[in-house]
Amino acid sequence: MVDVKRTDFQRYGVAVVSVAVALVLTLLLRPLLAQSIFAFFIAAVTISAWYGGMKPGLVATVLSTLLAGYFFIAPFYSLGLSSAVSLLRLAIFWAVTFLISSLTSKLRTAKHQAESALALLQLSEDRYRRLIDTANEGIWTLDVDGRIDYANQRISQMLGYSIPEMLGRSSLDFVDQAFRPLLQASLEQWQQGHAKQHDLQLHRFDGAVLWAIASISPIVSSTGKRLGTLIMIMDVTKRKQAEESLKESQALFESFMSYSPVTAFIKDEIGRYLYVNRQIETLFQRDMADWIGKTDAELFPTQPTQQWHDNDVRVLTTGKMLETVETVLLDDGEHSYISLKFPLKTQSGQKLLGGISIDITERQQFEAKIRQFNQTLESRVKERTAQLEAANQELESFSYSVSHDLRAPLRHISGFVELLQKQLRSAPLDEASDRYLKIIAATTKHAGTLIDDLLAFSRMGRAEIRHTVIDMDQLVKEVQQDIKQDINDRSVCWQVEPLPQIQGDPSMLRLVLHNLLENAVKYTRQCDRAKIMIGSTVNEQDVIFFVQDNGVGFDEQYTHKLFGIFQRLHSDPQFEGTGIGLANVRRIIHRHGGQTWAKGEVGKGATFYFSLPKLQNKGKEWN
Amino acid sequence: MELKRILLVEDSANDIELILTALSQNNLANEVVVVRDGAEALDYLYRQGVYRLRMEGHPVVVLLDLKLPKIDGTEVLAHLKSDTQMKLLPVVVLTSSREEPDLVKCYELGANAYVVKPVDFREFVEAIKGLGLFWAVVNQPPPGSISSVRSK
Repeated sequence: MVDVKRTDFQRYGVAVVSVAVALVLTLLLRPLLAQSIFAFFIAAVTISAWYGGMKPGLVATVLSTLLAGYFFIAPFYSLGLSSAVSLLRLAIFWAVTFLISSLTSKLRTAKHQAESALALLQLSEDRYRRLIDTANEGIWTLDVDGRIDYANQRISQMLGYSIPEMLGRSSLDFVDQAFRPLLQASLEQWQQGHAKQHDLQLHRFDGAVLWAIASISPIVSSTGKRLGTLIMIMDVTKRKQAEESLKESQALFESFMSYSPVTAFIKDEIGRYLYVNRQIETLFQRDMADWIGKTDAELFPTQPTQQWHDNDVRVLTTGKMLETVETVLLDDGEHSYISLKFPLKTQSGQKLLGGISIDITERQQFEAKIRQFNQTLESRVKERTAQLEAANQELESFSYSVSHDLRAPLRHISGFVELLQKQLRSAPLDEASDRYLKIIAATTKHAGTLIDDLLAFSRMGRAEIRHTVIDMDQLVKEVQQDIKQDINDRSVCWQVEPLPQIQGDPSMLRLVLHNLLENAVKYTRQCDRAKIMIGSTVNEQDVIFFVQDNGVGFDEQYTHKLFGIFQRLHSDPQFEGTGIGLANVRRIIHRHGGQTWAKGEVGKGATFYFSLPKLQNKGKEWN
Repeated sequence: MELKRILLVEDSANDIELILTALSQNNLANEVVVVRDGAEALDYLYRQGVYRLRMEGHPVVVLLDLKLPKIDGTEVLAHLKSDTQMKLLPVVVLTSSREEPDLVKCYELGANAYVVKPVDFREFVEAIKGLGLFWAVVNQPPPGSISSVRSK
């Protein structure tokens, strides 16, 4: 640095000027300096050498020699030398100044070297300090006793203690109890040139835990003496927390998957297992460790692994999920699995294959069973339907026969009895014979009615219901008209309330009303003032119609028999009947989704009820 | 062989007697030809078999029972009503069957009337008398039938 600043001109200039000054001073003080004429010149050379180095020193020496020789050594004002003494004096002067120059210059060089070395050191120290202070790691240095003698900014930030608070304390003070022995041992068993690393838990000033990786290395002098310890501390709390949460989530995932009834796995691109869950382990009775890194073909030489592999390849090449059925051979035979295979990708872009499989063997067996069952059921239904159809057919032809073939002979009996009676009219018959003929005629007629009613009953059971909206008021009027002749000249007081509309089969409901009104008329035959009331009530779902009379009534203990076929509660010959009418009423009402019932008392009349579903405002499909 | 105004197709001798008795009350008994089964009925109407020498023309009405030997009543009806020559001929189904399917079927085939033989003889007589009167006397038969009014 000194060399850089002092130019040659300056350096040599100082030599010349200092010699000149020496000359002037010596000239002025010559009287005083008679015996030591070189004193100032020695000083000039010294200054020159000090200031400019060896060469300016030498220049000053030469100049001083010449000038001193010229001015102060006789002969004066000439360069010649008058005596050997003068020459010797000059020589001594020359030697002394040369020595001074050389020493001064050496001294100067040494000083320069020292200065620049110091500057370099300063530079280096600055650099290291900056490095240490701004380092991402926290740094402590410990003295031989393990006390902190240096702490950087970073560790102060990490732990929340100021640097002065840390100095002089043991590093162990900041370490969690559990980790102290570890650090202690590591500090004691040092080995030259070997750093040790530990995971440590430190405590911050605020009590929070700090996870760190501490790198501990001894500071050793060149002679191998231990001077202290360097501890570098890296804050890995976040990483540790991430690791912990990863571990936790992994554990959660593991335990979750271990309860999963499905088998799950992950394979790499060439089919080596990276993960399998508990279920798959148990299934094949192999530990997870056995699986990892192996392919199906390696693990199961006897399994149909080719199909598995083909599916894997398909998923990996297409990049699409595949749902497929795969088979596995187990101890109890072949099992079918429905497998879902899908592509996965790691963050680094590695292609993986994920898969889950569910054993559907049982389900398939069930399905097969159900299919089989359904088939047998179907064929059974078909069989039964055919049987039913055959039975129906039989019934049909039976009723036809009854209708046609049974009625014909009755007609013939009645016809010929009539003809016989006519024939005998000319010759009057005795009373008994006449009565017999009348009985034959009446019985025949009854048998005919019976057949007709029976046929109607059977028809009502089989005929399809044709739904229309029925005006019940109108229907009652029509039925009243139909039975007019039954009333003859009797006086019957009708009381008909307005009735609601209803949905049903008109001819069937007409038969219902016909039967009920006919009955009412019939069983009020003995009343002086027959009264028949027709009305209705409405509840939430149904309309309830009733036909009430003040006729002979019935004994309530036989109510249950009223609606049974061929059941009659009156043996009185004037209440003729077949016992089919009310059975027909019940059958028709049931087929319409309604109920029938009756109330009565002997001698006090009867009330017959029937309910029908209410007419819906919308959507008439209720059958 | 004579052509008469009413063709009765009936297999039951009893019914034949009762029907004829009933018709005799209108003096129509003599206007009746009785055949005993469907085949004979067709022979009569088409003038074939034993009836090939019958006089030309059609009766004014056919009273047809349904349950007949050989060819039954519905078959006879179907045959007549699908023949353009015969379909104008009035056919009254006279049967014991009240079964609705029979009724519907007969009307579908083109029956002109359907009468159920009542069990009660008086009703029966009334029904037959009415039938005879209407079809043989009141009703104007289609062309080709036996020529009209005959003195009683």
